[in-house]
Formats: sequence, C-alpha cells, structure tokens
Amino acid sequence: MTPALLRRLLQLLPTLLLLVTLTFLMLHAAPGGPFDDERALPAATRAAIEAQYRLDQPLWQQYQHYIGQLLRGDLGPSYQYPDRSVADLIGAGLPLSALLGGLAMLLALVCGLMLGAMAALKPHGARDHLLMLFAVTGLSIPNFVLAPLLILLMAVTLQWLPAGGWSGDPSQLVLPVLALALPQIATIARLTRAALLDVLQTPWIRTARAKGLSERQIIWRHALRPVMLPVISYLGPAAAGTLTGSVVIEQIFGLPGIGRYFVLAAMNRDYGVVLGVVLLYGVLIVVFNLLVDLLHAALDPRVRL
Amino acid sequence: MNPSPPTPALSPLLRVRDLCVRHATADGGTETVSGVAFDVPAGGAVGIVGESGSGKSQTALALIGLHGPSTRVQGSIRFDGDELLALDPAAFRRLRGARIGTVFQDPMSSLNPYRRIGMQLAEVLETHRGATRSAAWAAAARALDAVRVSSPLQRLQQYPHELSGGMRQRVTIAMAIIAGPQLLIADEPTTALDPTVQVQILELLDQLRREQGLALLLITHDLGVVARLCEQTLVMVSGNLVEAGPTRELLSAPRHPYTAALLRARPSIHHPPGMPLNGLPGQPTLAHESGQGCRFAARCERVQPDCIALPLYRQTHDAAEQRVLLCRHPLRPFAPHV
Amino acid sequence: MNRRAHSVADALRQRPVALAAAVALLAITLLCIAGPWFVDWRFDAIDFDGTWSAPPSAMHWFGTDSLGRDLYVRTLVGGRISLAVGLVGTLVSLLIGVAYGAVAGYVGGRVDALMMRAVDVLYALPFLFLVILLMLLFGRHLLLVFVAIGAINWLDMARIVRGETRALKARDFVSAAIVSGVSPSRIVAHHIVPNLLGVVVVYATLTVPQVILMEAFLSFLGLGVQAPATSWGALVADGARDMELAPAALIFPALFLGASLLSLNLLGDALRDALDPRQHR
Repeated sequence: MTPALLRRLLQLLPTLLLLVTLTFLMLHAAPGGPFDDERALPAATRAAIEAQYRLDQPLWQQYQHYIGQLLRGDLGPSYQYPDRSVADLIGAGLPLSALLGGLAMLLALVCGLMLGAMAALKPHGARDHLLMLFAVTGLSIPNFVLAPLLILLMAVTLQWLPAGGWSGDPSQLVLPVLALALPQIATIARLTRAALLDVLQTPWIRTARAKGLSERQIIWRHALRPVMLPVISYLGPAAAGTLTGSVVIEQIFGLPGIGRYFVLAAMNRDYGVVLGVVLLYGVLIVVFNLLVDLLHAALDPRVRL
Repeated sequence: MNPSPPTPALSPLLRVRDLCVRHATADGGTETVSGVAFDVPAGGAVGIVGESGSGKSQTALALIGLHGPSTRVQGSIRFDGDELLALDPAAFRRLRGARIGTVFQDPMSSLNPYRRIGMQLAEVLETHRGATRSAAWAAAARALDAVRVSSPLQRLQQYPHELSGGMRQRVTIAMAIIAGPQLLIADEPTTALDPTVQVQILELLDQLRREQGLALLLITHDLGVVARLCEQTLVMVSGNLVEAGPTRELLSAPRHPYTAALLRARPSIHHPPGMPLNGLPGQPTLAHESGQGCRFAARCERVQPDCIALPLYRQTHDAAEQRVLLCRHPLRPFAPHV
Repeated sequence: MNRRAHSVADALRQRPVALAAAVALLAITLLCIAGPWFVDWRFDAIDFDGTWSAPPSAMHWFGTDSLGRDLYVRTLVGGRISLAVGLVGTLVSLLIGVAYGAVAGYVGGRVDALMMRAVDVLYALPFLFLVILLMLLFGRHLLLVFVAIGAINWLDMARIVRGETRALKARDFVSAAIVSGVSPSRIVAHHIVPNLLGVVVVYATLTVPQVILMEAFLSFLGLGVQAPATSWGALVADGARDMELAPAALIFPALFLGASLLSLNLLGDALRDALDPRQHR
C-alpha cells in the first residue's frame, strides 16, 4: 500500500467517526426508548432487559462500548429480534440490495454514456434536443413517482411484468431497476454530453484530426478518457442516490432488501439495526468516493493522490 | 500587361486559387477569406503574415479541411495534382497527417494530456502506414531524435505535462513529419514560446525542410519569422491577400502601405528607449463590415477617396502569382522588369 | 442589478423552452394559491354523498381519494406546502451556504482549509438517512423538515460561493479596496456578496427542485407533512396505495410534482447558461 493511499484511508476516519457519533447521539437523545411500548413489563424484568442492552449505563459508557464493538467488527444485537445479530439481518438483505443497486448503476452508466454521446455527436439537432428533453424530464420525475406509474402501466394495465415481490425471478427486478436507474441515466447523459462537447472543441482534438485520425479513433483514443472523468466523479453521488432510492424502491416493490429493513427498524426503534444500516451506507458511500478518486487518478496522468 | 517572367518549369506542390472561406451564421454569413491565391513549390518555404482576424489561420484550416461544419470553402486547392475541395471526407482524412502535416500554435494544449507521447506519435503511422505497434513506436523514437529531443525512448513513456513548452512543440513537429509529408503547415508555431526557444524551433523547421525536402507553409504575425525562413511572403489584411512577393524584395521595398506599416511597427534593438513604438492605429476592419473597397483604408495613411469608393484593384506582375499587389496607391509601382 | 434583471429577461426571451417553463411555473403557483378559492370543498372535508376513490367528475374535478376528500383541492393545497418547503428550504441553505462560503473564500489560508475539510467530511455523510432518523425520532414537525432539508443543501452552495469568492478576491477592484484600507467585513458586504448574486441566483434556482424532491421523498415515506395536511409527496404515496382502484389519485399529484420539477430544472439550466457561461461551456 502506498503512503498516499494510506493517507487517503486515514482521511476517511473523521467522516466515519462523525457518522457513528451523530447517529448514536441522535438515537439516544430521542424521546422514548425501545421498550416503552411494553408497559406491562414488570420493573425487574425491564431493568434486566435494559441491563442486558446496557441502557442503564451512562451514555458515554454505552458509546465507548459501541465503538469498541464496532472496532471488533461486531454490529451488536438487534433490539427487535434478540436472537439475531444486526450483522445477520444486514447479511440477509444485502445480496438482493446489492443486486438491485449494482444493476441500476450499471444500466445508468451504459445508457447514460450512450445517450449522452449520441446527443453530443450531432449537437443542436433534433436528436440532441429530444434526448436532452428526455434527460431533464428523467431528472424531474422522482423514482418514487416513477415506480408506481411503471407498475400502473406495465403491471396493472399491460400485465407484462410482475408488480413486485421477490422469489428469485429476474423479471421481478426489471421495474425496480428501471425506476432506480432512470434519474441516474438522465444525469449521466447530461454530464456525458457536456463533457464530450467540451472535449471535441479542444486544440488536441483538432491536432488529432490534423493527423488524419478517423472519428472513431478520435472518440475512442482521445475523447473517451476525459469524458469518463466527470462521469466517474459523479459515481460517488450516484451511489449515494441509488442507496437512498433503494429505500423507497424496495418498499414500493416489496423487495426484502436492506432499505426495507431500515424503514421497519426505524419504525420499531430498533437502535442496533438502524445504526448498523446507516453505518453500512456511510461506509459504502465513503469507500465508493475513495474508489472514484483512485480511478480518477488512474485515468488522469496529471492527478496524483 | 507586363512581359511575363519565366514561369517555374514544374507545377507547384500546392496551388491555391480564389480561395473563399465563409462562415454561415444566422444573419447570412461572414467571409473570413476572400479570393486568396498563391503557390507553394515543392521543397519551398512560403510565409503568410497578418494580424489576428486577417484570415491567415482560416486559410490554413481550409487547406487541411478542418474548417468547421458551418463553414463553406470555395475556389480551388490543388495539392500534388489532386483537387482537395473535390475529395470525399475519407480521402481527405487519409491525406491529413500522411501527406500534409500540421503544427498548431499552442503546444500546451495541442497534445492530448491523457495520453503518452509515444502513443500520440505512433498512432499516425498505425493509421496511415498500417505499421505494427512496435514498428510505430520505434519510428516514433527516431522522429523524436530527428527533432532533437534528448533521450527519446524515455520521452515516449511520458505525458505532455511532464515536458517543457519547447519540448512539447518539438513533439508536435515530430508528430507532423513522422509520416513523411510533402508539405508542413505551421500555424504560429513559435508564438506561445519563450524567445530563445522560438529561435531553436525556427532553426529546427528550417533544418527539417532542407534535410527532408519538405515544403513549408508558415503562418505568423511576425515579419521576423518569415524573414528568417521563407523565400516567398504573402501579406493578408481582413481576408484579402494584399501583397505577395519574394521575401527579401517585399521586406526591403514594400509596395503596400500595410506591409510598410507592419515593418515600421517592429520594435528593434536600435529603437531609442522611451520613444513610442510605431503601432498601427485603429482596429482591423472585419471582412464583412467593409464594402467593396480596400479593407485597410480606415487605417491607411495614404488613403484616397477612390480607395473606399471603387472596388479592389489587383495587380499581378507575373502569371505564377509570384508578385501580387492589392492597392490603388502603392508606395512604389511594379518595376517594368524585374 | 438592473442590468442583471435585464439579462435574465433576455435569456428567457432567447430560450422559448425556458420561457414556457417560467410560464408553467407561474401558472402552477397561481393555481395552487388561488385554485382552492373557487370550489366549495376544503382539503380535509369528506364528501359523504360522493363515493370514495371516485374518478374525476363535474363535482370533483380530479376525483376523490380513498377517504372521499376532493383531490383537486388536496392537490393544490398540497402544492402550496411543496412549493413553500422548496422556497424556505432553499433560503435556509442559501443563507448558511453564502455566509460559510464567503467567509472561507475571503479569509483563505488555514481557516479556509479547515472549513472546507469540514465540508468534505459532512459531504460523505449519508444525510438523507440521518434526516429520516431525525424525523422518526423527534416527531414530524413541518419546521423540522424545512430546517433539515435546508441544512443538507448548503454544502453545494458553500463550495460554489467559496470558489467564486476566491476568484473575486483576486480581481483588481477588491485589491484596490484592500489597499485603500476598507475593512474586511465591508469588502465582503459591499464588493464580494453583490458580485456573487448571479451565481447564487442560478444555484438557488437549481436547489429549489432538489428541496421539493427531498420533501416529497420524506412525505412519501410518511415522514414529512402529517395528515390531514398534505403535500405532493404525501399525495403520491396515498395515490400509489390504491392506484389500481383510482389511478387519478396517483396521476394528478404526480403530474403536478413532475411538471413543477421539470419547469424548475429547465429554468435553472437556462439561467445557468445565460448568467454563468463558464459552468456550461
């Protein structure tokens, strides 16, 4: 591992620590504990349960304990399902969420780049205007609005695709992936178009033309990298957006992923699970941003970490 | 009119006639080059001099077909027997880089910052000669050596930002000549460089021309540059070619008031300190702003009413467009015999 | 200022799409404000004579929801909340962002480095999840939605304003003010902030749809506005619940939300092109 990379990794620590602390404090400052609903609980039993979860200890001790636990890679127990650990619950939802998010990002990247390039190669024509109108419309339809509309059209009216649920059938993922990817497709297409138009006007593309290279060579050899750079930079925010979107998308399509657990756990004040999921998302976003930076440095010879 | 001097036995490498470049805009269009004609003999060196907006760079771009899609080019450009304006885009593309090399002004931005020098040199041969990668890279190293770049093998692996400005311009020259073109177009090749580096680059261009038999078309705003390198010089004002002639003759005995003014405007080391420089007054007239008359008239000290009222008056001294003058009231007329 | 207003008007005139967007936005806003005055229904009144989840009719122009409430009035009243959240949220983010960015950019040096490092740290937080937590834990006040959303969006504004401030600080008229001994606070107030206005207006226009979107997202999850009050996000959520029975209850609020966001995005793009050509070369 290079010293530069190590430094970048160390820079992640304040973000993660802030994240853990904020979440922890927020949960504990909230009015009402996790066992408030069970009023009938005898005081002794209640005290025993609270002791088991260390709710009787001073806040900073609970905090210390939690941090220590995290450092050991233990996310702690679920408050709602005492027999299951948070890691268990997250592990159960992760594959589906990862599949959904990964497919959506992949689709967004491929379609976004293609549509953006199509618009930029014949700028200011009818095709360009149509594609960009489509893109700005895509940006303007939130995925939680698009999802029910897609269900209404494709599942209820046309009955081409299932409306939701998850039994391992790939067709059940088509609509969720589409709903999740569309705003990202729109953003990436706009970014690609702007970057490609920009690059094609540079003096070094003129040099490439003066060398007699074909348009195909100019695009693939000379324009692709600089066009990829802003798109790659956007992948960090795109990952965050996809994670956020997956919460509602999983809810709407009834997919048993992490996002759905998160909403359920939050409703039930299941501190452990909520903290675990927020932490997981935070780490994912932070790590994704790091990867994006690394990729950026790999593609741009002028950038050093 | 005049007894014609002996015309060159061979037809020139590049023969440009009635070249017009017109940008299509919403309100009609603007002509940036109007009726330019000149020859570049094989192995010769011709300079085009003019201020920014004179149309000299537009002329260069039109020659290699890199004027934008909204630009119309009319007239005739014959290069080595081919009429370039009649070529289809693919044939024109095969000619660029292979038979006509081009060097642009700013070496900082005319190399792709994301690609290694070697790849940018080698791809010219891979494209035009179908060379294998290893053969192309070996040739790239030789080309760097030819433009006097030190340790070429190591340079091939570097990126443009790792080189100095002068070194980068040597690389772009190497890129322009690597495929062995007959003509090298250099558009302000030294403008963005330090004065000492400028001299080195000009010497390099001159050397390459002699060693490789390249014809050179040099575009510049600097009369000193053409004086150093070019046998024939063309002067452009607002899209018109106003004077053409052998460089020595043109610089020692300018006929057009603009050429004379340009010569006077050159600061020299003999210039007394504190004295103002002889700048040209006023702003260049844009081609489309003027009527039919002389486009230098507004700034000309010899201007007469007929300069503005009457159409342009063009004199050629010999059939091969060796000596041209576009002026009604020149400083000195063409001599009856040269 | 006058010239800037003039160039905005020019920008709109040269871009028919943006002009149409501005007109649409104005129409939607006016409709949301005045539209409910012209019908007899109140947004929380149940029409016991009509049917629940009724399709559009002369009586209920957009139909009724599953509780028999008039959807036309609900959509427009919900629009008031959505638009108000968009404006107020943007204002909050604008105030924080401009102040933070201008100070960091003007003071520069280590203060700037530290302040921007803090922004970087905050940037990497999964903010929306924290807001969801906040809503769940501390009750669902509309005020909290405003503040939370505004507090998220200031980061972008701070970065942009800081960059602009640094560029402005290097300009001659600011140097001139510094060497003439004008106090830093006066320079920021009189020379920096007024010149930031163009950029700030453009990014504020682009922030409004983001804020509206975020409110809609929270309300969709049931964490934003609380019944019987409503917003477009909450209406879409209601509509999605029984869309098979009454698609109108989904389609009308979705249409209003989508049209507003689209208009704002188109308008923001056009303003950015017109006032800030560097961002959109």
